[in-house]
Amino acid sequence: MAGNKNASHVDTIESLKKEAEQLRKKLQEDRKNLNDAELFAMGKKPETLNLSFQVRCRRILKGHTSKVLDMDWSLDKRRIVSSSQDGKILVWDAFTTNKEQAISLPTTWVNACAYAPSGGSIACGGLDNKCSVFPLHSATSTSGSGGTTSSSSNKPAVTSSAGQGDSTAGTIMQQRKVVAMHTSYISACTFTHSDYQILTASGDSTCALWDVESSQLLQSFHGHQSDVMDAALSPCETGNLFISGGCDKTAYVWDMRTAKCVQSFQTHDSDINSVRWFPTGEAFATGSDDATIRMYDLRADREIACFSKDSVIFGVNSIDFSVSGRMIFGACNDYLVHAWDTIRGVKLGALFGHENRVSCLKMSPDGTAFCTGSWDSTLRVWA
Amino acid sequence: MTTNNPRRGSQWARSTWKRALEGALISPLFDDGTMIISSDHNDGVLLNVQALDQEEDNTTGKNKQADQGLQFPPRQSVLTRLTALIVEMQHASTGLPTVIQSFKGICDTSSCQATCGMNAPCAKTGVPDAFMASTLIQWLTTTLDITSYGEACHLATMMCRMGFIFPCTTEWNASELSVGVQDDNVFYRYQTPYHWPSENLAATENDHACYLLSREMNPDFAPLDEYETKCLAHLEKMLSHQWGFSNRATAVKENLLQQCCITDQYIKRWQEYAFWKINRPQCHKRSAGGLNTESWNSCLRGLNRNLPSENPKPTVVSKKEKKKTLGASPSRILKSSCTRIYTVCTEWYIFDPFTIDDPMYYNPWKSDTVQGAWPIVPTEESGPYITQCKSWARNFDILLKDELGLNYFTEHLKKEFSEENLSFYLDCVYLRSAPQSEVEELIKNIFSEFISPNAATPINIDTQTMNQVKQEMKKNKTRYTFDMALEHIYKLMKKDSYKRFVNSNIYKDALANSKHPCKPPKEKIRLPKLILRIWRLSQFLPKNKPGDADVERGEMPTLGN
Repeated sequence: MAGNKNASHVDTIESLKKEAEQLRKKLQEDRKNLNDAELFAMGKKPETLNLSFQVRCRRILKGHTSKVLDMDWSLDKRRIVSSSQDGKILVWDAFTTNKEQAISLPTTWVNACAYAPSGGSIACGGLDNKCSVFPLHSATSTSGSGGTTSSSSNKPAVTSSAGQGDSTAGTIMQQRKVVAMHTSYISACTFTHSDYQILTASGDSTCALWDVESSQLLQSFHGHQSDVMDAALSPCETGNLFISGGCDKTAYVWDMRTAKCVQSFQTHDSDINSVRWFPTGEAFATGSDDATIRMYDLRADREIACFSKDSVIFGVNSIDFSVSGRMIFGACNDYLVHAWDTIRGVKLGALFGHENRVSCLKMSPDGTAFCTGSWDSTLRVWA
Repeated sequence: MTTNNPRRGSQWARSTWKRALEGALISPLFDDGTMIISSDHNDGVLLNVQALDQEEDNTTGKNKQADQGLQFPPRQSVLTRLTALIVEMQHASTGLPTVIQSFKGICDTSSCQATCGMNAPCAKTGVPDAFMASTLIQWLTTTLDITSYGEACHLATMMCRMGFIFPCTTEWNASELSVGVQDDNVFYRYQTPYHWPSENLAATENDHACYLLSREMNPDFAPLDEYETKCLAHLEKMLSHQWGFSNRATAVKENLLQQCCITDQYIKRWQEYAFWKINRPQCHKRSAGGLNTESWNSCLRGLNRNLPSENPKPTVVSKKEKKKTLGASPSRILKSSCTRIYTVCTEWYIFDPFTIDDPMYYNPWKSDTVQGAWPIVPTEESGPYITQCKSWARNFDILLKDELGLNYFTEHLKKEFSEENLSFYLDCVYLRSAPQSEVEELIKNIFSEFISPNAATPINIDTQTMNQVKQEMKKNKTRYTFDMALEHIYKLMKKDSYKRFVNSNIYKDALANSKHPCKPPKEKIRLPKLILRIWRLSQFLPKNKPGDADVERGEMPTLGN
């Protein structure tokens, strides 16, 4: 009797398992259909322009002695600031590959760096839990070759160093201004539409908005359940939104004015490493450790595309769109940069060159090239 | 916070492994547990940051041994996927076809019987379950639908660097290995699961010592490299108190190994060799990708992800409310969203440097020279660049952010007598990102200039918006006070002025006047200059590694036909 009972129990469990498996498969298929039906189906229309993928490495910037962790473009479309694990921050003229300025921070692991819109200063932060702003030499500000095309350039820049030539370690640290203080590491920082405000994302699971002049906390954003890995401000100047993604696999859309979370998206299977807006500010994409890039639409309030391939196994560290949004580039831990066609969902190709994981990727302001930084201590510019 | 949680044998290892699975743990390097780890009863782990910093400092010294940085498990999601791939490869029918590879010196009946410890006849004819690189790459290409040969090779190389497969040879190192390139004579095997990174967390120093000792005892298999000799000396100093134990353990292991058949001995030695090549590589500036270059930062992140968060989950505007306000069905909204994205992608390609198909377009980064290759800043006299000008017509935000575009737009607005709208817009945008100290005065200025009844250049907003703004000003003057009016004016400009601008003569003239940036002039080159130019050019191009000249440039030959 007992034996029979056991047998029937086992049968029930087996059948339940089978049912669960079937349901799971059905759910997957339904999800797939729902996603495929729309954006990628549109991309299959015959009148869609076919893309030719002919991207090559155009510049290699060598100068760091340790892993490059983050980089940012200046609005003059040719200067770059990069930060690395050994605490050094370098300002380059990427077009000529000349190094223009070097700043040594006393702490290691500078996870984030940003260029101010006017080109007159840079912000950086990392394991010191602070975000600091440094002025750049007046020689590197917007003059001579290549001017800014931002409307904020009709207002004066924050500070510009009066000194010429190399700044010694003493003087540059004196000019340093600590703006943000978190209780854990800084994972991302960016200037908002001017030199006077900074948005930071931190490992203490909050994002914060700071006033540079007074180092005052203007607004802080709580809600993530774990470290926030990246934050990005909406490209619309009238918008108040920004997005953040973190280790809790969730991406949140925040309203800067009310400090409230407006939308949340959780479809990734692992940490989100990078968030970027679609050029019009109506959608955004996230890159994650689960080796996929997913696109979410604000109005539809859901995931509308998932870029993944069986052969892409390593996590995506950083992503960016091309100017039209037609291409997405993902920097991965397998040392490659993978490129995708946004509306067709197909992988266009992979870019070789780096000898260690690619940690950051950013498109230049006018979209003519993008730059990648890697743990092999080099940066590469691709076009 | 309780301190100092030393290793306690298998139980500790098991809980370590469990926590590592969540990506939240580091394991101590040294057997005497000098790494300070504390764990509270919630099973969370907190790190002593200074100790880690010091550790990092110690390893950047000149005599840095084979990267004795902290051992950290790489993030689990990658390992799960790789493990799944390996399992698929080993599938009986759809997996990778393996062969029994003959290998010089083993299973050649006479020599084998002479040296083999077993007395029974051996049926082996070679190394079982072996495969060539080409087979592996072929299989990866077909199963994973990889379109380029270079990518398939790279994936195979990464699998090897992560420690899931290994070449049956003793002349390789992790950083220079390239599967599928110049390795026709080398065959590969799967690494035993015991040595998988997902299974074997912390390879201890004692294990390493035993390994190096056994290598020392068998120089015929593979003599110790210079860095390995140094490592062994260092280990002897460090583990001097238990060196006798290490020696005895090695002797026991060797004894057991001698009792296996020669083929098995080779296989086991190769497996170990591969494991330690990956986990303790020779350290140089750009050290190999792999487990031990994962630095503790990759572990510091998400450290307390399994602890209950102090943050309440944010309250999002409820979905029911949203449905009411939107009014349309979700599928309709989805379709319109996708259509919008599709439209942008397909219409903006004309000024996207990555998708543009105009043969006259010149991208300065693609130029061969640097001198004079950077396009000059466009002005109204010189006329805008074509891509720039076209982009103004596509999107109002792009026009508003472009300085030259604003000039043209302002001219147009002057004709329509509505330039105060743009001034108001720009001032408000500046206000929203202005320094906190300036906010109050800016609000006053904007109000007196645009909003107040006595304003010099009043903006055209309806009474409802005007009342809203006045209310905001009474309540609390912040940088967002004028948001309602700003939105109204923005929409107004977008609907009216912008649309008319795009069809205006001002814009059309600008477009007709626009051109692509000039390519730098080709100079007459004399021989010394030519040599100089070639040398300069070589500085920009990436250095090609031997054997993969094409791979470097992202232009790869596709497989077969």
